[in-house]
Amino acid sequence: VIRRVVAAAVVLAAVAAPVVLGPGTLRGVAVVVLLALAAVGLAVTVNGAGVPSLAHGAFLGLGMYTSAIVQTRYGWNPLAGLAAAALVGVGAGAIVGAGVARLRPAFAALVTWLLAWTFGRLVGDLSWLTGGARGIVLGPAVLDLGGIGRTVTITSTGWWEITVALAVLTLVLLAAFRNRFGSALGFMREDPAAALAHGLPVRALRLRAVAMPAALAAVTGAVLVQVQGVADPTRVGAIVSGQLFVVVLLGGTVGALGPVVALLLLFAVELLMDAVIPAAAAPGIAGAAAAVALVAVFAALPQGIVPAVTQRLRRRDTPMSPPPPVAAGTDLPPPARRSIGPVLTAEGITLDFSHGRVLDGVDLQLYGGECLGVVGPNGSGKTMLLRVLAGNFAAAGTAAITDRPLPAEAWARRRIGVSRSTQRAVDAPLTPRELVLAGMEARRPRNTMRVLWATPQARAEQRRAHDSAAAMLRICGLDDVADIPVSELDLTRRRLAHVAAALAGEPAVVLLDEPTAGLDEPGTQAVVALVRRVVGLGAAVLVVEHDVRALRGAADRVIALIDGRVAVEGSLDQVLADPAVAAGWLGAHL
Amino acid sequence: LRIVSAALVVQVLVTGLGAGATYGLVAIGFAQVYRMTGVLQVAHGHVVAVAMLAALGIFAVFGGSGGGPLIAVAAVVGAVVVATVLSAVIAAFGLQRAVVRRSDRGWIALIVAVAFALEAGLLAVSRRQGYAFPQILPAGSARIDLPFGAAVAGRTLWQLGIGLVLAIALERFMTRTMPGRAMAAVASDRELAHLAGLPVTAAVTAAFGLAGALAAVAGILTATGRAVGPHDGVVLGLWGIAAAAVVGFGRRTAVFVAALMLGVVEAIVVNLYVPGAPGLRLGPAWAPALPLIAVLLVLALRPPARAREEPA
Repeated sequence: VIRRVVAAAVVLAAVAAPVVLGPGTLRGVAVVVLLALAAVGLAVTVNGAGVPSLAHGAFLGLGMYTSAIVQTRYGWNPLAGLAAAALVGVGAGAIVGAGVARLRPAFAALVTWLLAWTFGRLVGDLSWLTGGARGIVLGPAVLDLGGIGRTVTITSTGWWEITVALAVLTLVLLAAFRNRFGSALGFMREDPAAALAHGLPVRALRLRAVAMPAALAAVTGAVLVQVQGVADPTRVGAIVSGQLFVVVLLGGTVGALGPVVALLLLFAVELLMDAVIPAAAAPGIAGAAAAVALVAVFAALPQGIVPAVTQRLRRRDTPMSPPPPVAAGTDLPPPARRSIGPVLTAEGITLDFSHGRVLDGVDLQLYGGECLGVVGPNGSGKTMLLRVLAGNFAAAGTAAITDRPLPAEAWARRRIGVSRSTQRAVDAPLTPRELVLAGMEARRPRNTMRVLWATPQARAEQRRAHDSAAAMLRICGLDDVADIPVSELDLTRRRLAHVAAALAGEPAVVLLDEPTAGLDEPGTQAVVALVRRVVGLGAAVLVVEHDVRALRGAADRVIALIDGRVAVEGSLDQVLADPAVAAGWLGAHL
Repeated sequence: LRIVSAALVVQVLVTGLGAGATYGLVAIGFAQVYRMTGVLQVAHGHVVAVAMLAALGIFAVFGGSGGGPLIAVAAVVGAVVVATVLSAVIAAFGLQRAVVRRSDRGWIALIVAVAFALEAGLLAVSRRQGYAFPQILPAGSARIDLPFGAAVAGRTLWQLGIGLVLAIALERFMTRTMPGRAMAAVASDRELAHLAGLPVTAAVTAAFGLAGALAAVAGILTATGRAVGPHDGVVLGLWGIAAAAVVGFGRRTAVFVAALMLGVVEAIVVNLYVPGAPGLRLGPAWAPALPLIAVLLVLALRPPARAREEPA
């Protein structure tokens, strides 16, 4: 009800603004709305995808100057300028997004910081193009409707209407984007290394999360320049980028509410500082003092203002009781029927590092409806074998899934059904449902335009994904805690949620890395039961494990890796009894 | 392209190496701070700018270069002290990573806030676009003839010489003295260094201070005998940051060599242009951009190991 009332009030205000406010005030309000839109876009990049972009002011400026330049130098009309700004924004965003997608967050911040400063310097130095410190002054926005022999001038009211339309469009697209990619972005943001290991298309998602907000910023800049009537060099570059970044961090949400609240707070604090410190005494000091004050707020509330408030309200409403301990899986399904031919075949897998050979001609065959255990001492290459099979590491040798050679990239392998979980369970404020949806994202086609326009097909896909995620959570025994952050769950459920993310989308081959590490007996048995259930459904499971009891319950067949080579293969008892395994893994004295 | 003569090649090379040496001094300190804390101190350029203004302030108070070498020494020492203290104070912010739950976003926000504050300070103090910085180096403005008919300003050779000497001295300090080894230990494994009883906090603060001191020297070597604006120091800092980043904050020698190479690339960009195509011309206006763009491309397309994100 509150949301509807607020939405109705906002719509009413948008309609009434041109009537109530004078042209000057209307322009001022439009500027604030446009900056808020830029911040809302940046929130997707920073709070959604976890890319600390400090170049958003440059994207804003790029749109501003592109529109101004094509209008003043080439005589384009303002709407064509808008389209040009959008295109340039998409291009620049795609280039920057592709660049920072593979970098650690700190380096992404560095690159974008350098970019913002470089852009600001270029705007100042290339005065023959940008007008230097004077900027580019625009005349009245006149549209020449050649077809009907008329011209139309867009007034401040017209630009207000365009601003409102842009805001509505942004919110609709943002909702569609979050609905579809929100879980995957969250996984990627909270644990990028695990997301990469799970075969999530991290780079492709980051590229979208940088490029689309960049395009939005460029369009926003193109409207901003019309509203202000001048391409202002002080509104581009590093300082504006930094301010938008701080606003987004302060807001703390991927949605619109956080950035809007933080931006209004920033303006309020700046006004206060201006009143306290006269601009004539120290130009610029008030704005900076405001930013520093707000960052101090951030230091106190690292998750952001809006999440801090909502968390507090939620805790007050529903005091959480811890879920009961996981029951050991007793209802094991009947033994699965093994597939006739192998699902996964690997031959001659060899991997050399500078310090020596890690994998040395490993051959293995993995059948559907079978669990293959891998044992061996630390450093024998077990995890590295999983990494290679999942496509996280390139190695010599061949690997095929039902006779089709595996593609090189992890995301491509995940898409055709090779899935992996890591040793370390995800410990993040993500719910099991979000983790499963994120895992599912790796298996789904990514037609971004269809998602953004929320076509019937896209909505049907989304419904199917949610139904499938609910089914997977049931299978994993997580349906009662599906919406509690995994960081608040016990280790067993955290491990189960982690495995559930790998099982999402029903992959043909599942590679599990020590799924019972650190678990007690009931927890171990719960994971074993889950593995047997998955095997019963026909999946081919390869599990690296140190716990012999877990292997006895889960594995149909076992191989022992010693020094990167398959030393022995057979039943668990045969492997344990082998002298080479006794010497290489258990210790010769045993 | 302008016809390339041997004189031009030598001139571009030496000028570039001179500028690169100053970038190298900034870069080494920046890289050391990153290796010890994981914090990319992007406000480092602002520290350089503040150091330059501090030196200018001392000249203004004591009557400019007419005060003789004593004033020049006071200006250099003052700038170095200001930058060292300022950097050490920023270390206190950098060390607050624990407060912000060791989050990258947290320290980035704090460092950006520091940059804002320093930017505001620079705007508040400098009322003009540029100030004449006195020439404090002997024969700094003199024309020095080089082989093949090339000639550079004396300052360029001073930049190269002082840069190299300080880089070598720093290398020896880091490898042969106890404080240097302590810093190296912290950079190698912070927790292990702490368990071994090393004063980690002091070592980190010292590294920040050392970075500030080196940056101040670089700033003065760049500014002397020129008109400098409030953002010239920031640009110098950006070059240093870029040089450190392009080699992934690797060994000090690699960082310094990368800085020298960036200086040469910049000199090439400044001295080349395409005649008859004003829209495509290269020249001083592009100087801050093209090499930085090259660095961005290196980081984006072939990022060094330390910069890349790897799967678990």
